[in-house]
Amino acid sequence: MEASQPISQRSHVERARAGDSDAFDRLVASRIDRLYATARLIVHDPDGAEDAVQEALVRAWRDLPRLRDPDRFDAWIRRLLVRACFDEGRRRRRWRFEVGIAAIDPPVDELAYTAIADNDEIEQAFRRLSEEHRVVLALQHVLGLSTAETAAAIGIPAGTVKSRTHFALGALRAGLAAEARRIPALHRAEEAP
Amino acid sequence: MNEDRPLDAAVVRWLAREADRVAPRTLTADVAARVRTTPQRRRRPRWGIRLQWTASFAGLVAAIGAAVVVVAIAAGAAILRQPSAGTLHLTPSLSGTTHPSLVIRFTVIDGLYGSLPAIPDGATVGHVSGHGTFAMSGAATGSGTFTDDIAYTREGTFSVTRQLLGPSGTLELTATITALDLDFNMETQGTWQTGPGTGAWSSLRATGTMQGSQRDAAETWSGTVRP
Repeated sequence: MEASQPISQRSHVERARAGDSDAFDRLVASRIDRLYATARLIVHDPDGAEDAVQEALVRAWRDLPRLRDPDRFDAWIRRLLVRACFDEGRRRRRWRFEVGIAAIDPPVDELAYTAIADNDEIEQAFRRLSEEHRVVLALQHVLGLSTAETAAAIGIPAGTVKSRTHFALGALRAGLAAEARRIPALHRAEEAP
Repeated sequence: MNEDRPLDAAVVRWLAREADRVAPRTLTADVAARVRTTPQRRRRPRWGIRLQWTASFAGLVAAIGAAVVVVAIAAGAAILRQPSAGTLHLTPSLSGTTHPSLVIRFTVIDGLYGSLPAIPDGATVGHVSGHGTFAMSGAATGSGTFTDDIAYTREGTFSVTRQLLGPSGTLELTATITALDLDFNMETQGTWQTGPGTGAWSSLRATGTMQGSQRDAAETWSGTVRP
């Protein structure tokens, strides 16, 4: 991502670093959706994801004058986001448990119903992953980061990223298989007299 | 991708859908609002920090060095100055039973080492006590409970040893009593205390260690013994 940074982006970072909040708004506007999507997968809660993104961006604004290399802005803000997500996760584990209610539109046909069921299975399996496994998958599959970039964002060695990705995908597959076994069993129970 | 097996197509689609989520507008607005009210932390120049630390350290070293020099000068002045003469006030206190011993407590006031800068005028800087033997002359009148005042006269020598308090270190005083005329108030048989009297002594010798240096001083003193 850094290799193709336009010059205007660097100037935005430099202006924001000098205290220009409008320049910072422009920097944020082009990144906030991806940051939010990543935070949703890591925190697994819409409100928590909003809080984490907001905290990461406010920290970025506050500490931006200390960022020495403007070209490292994206890597730096990813790291802030991951840290804010971990903080948010700890805070939520400590203070409250929440049950998310997913709004599902009524299925229009059999194919759509199957797609929704698949998505729900995947979401359930992803939710059961640990936070450290969710974060490696989110960074690599949502932000499209390489192993090295993922390692830099989390602050762990690249080898650890590889092993966590391996275990995360294995756990995701195992979770999907378990969901697949559980849902027919539920159907059979509902159909029984 | 770090996994040899490809992800299921459904998982890939789900991740892609998750990646396309759009942040709520309220989030963007909230961030903008907080940015407007949050001050930035200014970066301090690296060399500025180091120079500040260096300056602080240099100042500390200079202050310590100055303090050492002042102490050394004061100590040197104290070492080089000879003890000077002054006023010596004595408060004798005689106590004893059958064989009374002489205890003389010296209170040195602004005199003996008055040249030391650390001793303010009027301050008690030393406390000296001594002991010795002496012979008493005179006679007590009456019997049973002694209520009369009896005058005694004695001559003798005694020595005192006491650490001098304060900055001068240790001090040993020796003196020879040439005359001592005290009124002894004999309240009960075998127990007595002194009343007002006069005394004289000579060859008061002060030997002490002051600030690490050996100093001797021999002087002759005379004074009034007060109760």
